[in-house]
Amino acid sequence: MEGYSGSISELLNSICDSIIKIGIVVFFHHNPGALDTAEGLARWVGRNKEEVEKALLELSRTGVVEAFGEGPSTIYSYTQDEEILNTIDEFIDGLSRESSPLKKTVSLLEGH
Amino acid sequence: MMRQLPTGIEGLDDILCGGLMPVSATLLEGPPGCGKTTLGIQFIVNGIMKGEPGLIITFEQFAQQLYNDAKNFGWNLQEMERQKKLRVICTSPATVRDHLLQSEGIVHSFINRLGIKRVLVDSVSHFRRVTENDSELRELLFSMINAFKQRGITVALTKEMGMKEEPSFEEYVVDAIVNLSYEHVGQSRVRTVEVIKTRGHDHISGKHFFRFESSGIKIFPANTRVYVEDPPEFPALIATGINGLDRMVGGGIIPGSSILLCGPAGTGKTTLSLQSIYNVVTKYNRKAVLFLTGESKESVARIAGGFGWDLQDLQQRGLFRIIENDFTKINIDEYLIQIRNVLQEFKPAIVSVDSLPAVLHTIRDNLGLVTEKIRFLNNLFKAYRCVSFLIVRTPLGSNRISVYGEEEALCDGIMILGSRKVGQTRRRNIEVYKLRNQKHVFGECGMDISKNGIKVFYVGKGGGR
Repeated sequence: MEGYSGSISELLNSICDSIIKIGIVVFFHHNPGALDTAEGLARWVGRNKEEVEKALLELSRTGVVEAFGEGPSTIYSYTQDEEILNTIDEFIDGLSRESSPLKKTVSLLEGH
Repeated sequence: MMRQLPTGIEGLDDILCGGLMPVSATLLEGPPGCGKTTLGIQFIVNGIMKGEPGLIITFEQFAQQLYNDAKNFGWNLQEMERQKKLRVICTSPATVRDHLLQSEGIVHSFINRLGIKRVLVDSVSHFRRVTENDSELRELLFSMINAFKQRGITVALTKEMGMKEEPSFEEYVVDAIVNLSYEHVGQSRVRTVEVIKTRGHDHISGKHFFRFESSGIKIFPANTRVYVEDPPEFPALIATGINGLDRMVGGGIIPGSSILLCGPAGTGKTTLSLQSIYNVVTKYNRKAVLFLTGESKESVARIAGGFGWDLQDLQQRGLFRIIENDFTKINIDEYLIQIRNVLQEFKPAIVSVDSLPAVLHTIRDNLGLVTEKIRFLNNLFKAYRCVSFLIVRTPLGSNRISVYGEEEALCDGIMILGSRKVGQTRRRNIEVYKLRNQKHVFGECGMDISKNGIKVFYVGKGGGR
C-alpha cells in the first residue's frame, strides 16, 4: 500500500486481497457494535457463510476483528485497538474519495 | 411502593401514570412504520440523559441506519457510544440466545463495563428465526427478559404485528404492553398509542394520538384526568358586561361553566362572544382567548372593528390572544392539548371556541369520540375555571340546538340566539335555555345588534328557574 508505513501497509494488504474482507471491514466500520457469528455476519453483509467464515478467520489473525469462543458458535466483533481503527477509518475515508478507483466498489458495499 | 421510572417521552408518562416500573419488560408492538423503534430509541436516549447508560440490540436494522434515523430527532448515538453511554449491537437472535444467557457471555461484559440500565431489543419477532415452536419461543423470551432483570435492567422490546392480531405469548411474558397503530379518522390517517397492560401500576386506557416531532415522538393524551395545581382565582361570577344578559343570569356566569352558544347563521353568536371578551378585558381587566377554527382572524377583526372593539389593542396589552387553526387539518387531541397549554400558561377568565363543530370536524363520524372530546374540553375549562362559549351554528328553522345532540347534555349552559319575522321586520331574541347551578330567566328576551354591539332587553330582577 503506497504511502503507508510497513505494518500498516501489511494490514491493509491483508484486507484488500479479498472483496469479502473489504465488505466485512466496511460493515464493521459503519456498525462498530456488531457482534455475531459467521453465519449471522454473512446475513448482515449478504454473503455466503463459508466465504465469510474464512475471511473472518484471516481478519482475526491480523487483529481487525476479535473472536470469542470456538467452533460454529464463535462470535466476532470489531477490534477495539485504536491504532487499527484509525488506520481503517483513514483507509475507508480514502476509498470513498471521488479520486479513488475503488469508490464505486465501496459505495456498492455500503449499499448506496 | 416502588417508584416508577419516567420514560421521558412527552405524554407517555401521563398515560402510564408516572412511567414504567423499574426493572420491568415492556412490549412496544405495532405494524411496520408506526414508530416502535423510534419510541424505543427515545426511551434509551432519555435514560442516557438521566445518567442511565443504554444498550440497543438490533436484529434487522444496521446500526448505521439507526444512527441516521436518530439524527433526524437530534440524537447523536455515535457520540453517545464514544462517551461510553450507549452500545448499539447488530446481531442475530441465535447469538443472543447462545451468548446473552451465559453469565460470562460477551454481552454481559458490555452490560457490566458500561453499567447498562436500559435495553432496547428490536425486534423480538426475529426470534422466530431460531425456532417456530411457541413454547420454545416463550421460554427463550422469558429467559432473556430475566437475564436483563437480574442485572437491574429495564427492557423495551419491539414486536411487529398486523392491525388485527390475537394476543401472542410475548404479551403474557412482559410487564407492560404499548400498542402503536394507524387509525382512519375522517379522511385522514393518524398514529395512535394505547397502553394495553401494566403490572404494578395504573394507566389511562384508550387510544391517544401521537406525532413525530423534531425532538422525537410526542403523545397527546387528551383522555387523561385534568388536575390543576394552581387554578386561577376569579370572582364568584364573571359578568359578560352585556347588562341585560347579565341580569338574565343573576349577575354573571360561574367560573368554569361551558356555555353552548347556538343559533342559525347571522343571529349574533360570534358578536356576543366577542363583546363578552372585549368587556371582560376592558371593563374587568381580565384575560381572554379566542380559539378560531371556523372563522378567520381577519373576519373576526372586521366584525369587532365594526363595533369599535380594537382586538389588536387588547393583544398588545397582553390581555387577549387569538389562536387560529385550520379545521380541516386539526388533530383533535393535539388541539385539545394546545388549548390546555394555553389555559395553563395564560389563565384566561373567558374563552370562546368558534366553532365547536369545526373543532370536531375530523372525528365527526365517531359519536363516541365526539362525546369523549367534548367532555375533556369541558373538564379543561372547569379545571382552569374559565367561562367558555362554545359556538354552534344550527340550521335555520330547525328545532335543533346542537349538531350531535351530545353537546346539550355535556355543557353547563345553553344560550339560544334566534330571530322571528314580525310583519315586515325580523326581531332578534335570546334565550338562556339551561344554566347549571344558577338561577336564570326562563324564556326568550328581545335582543338587538346596533353599532354599539348587542343589547338584551331584560329589565326584571332575574331568577325564575
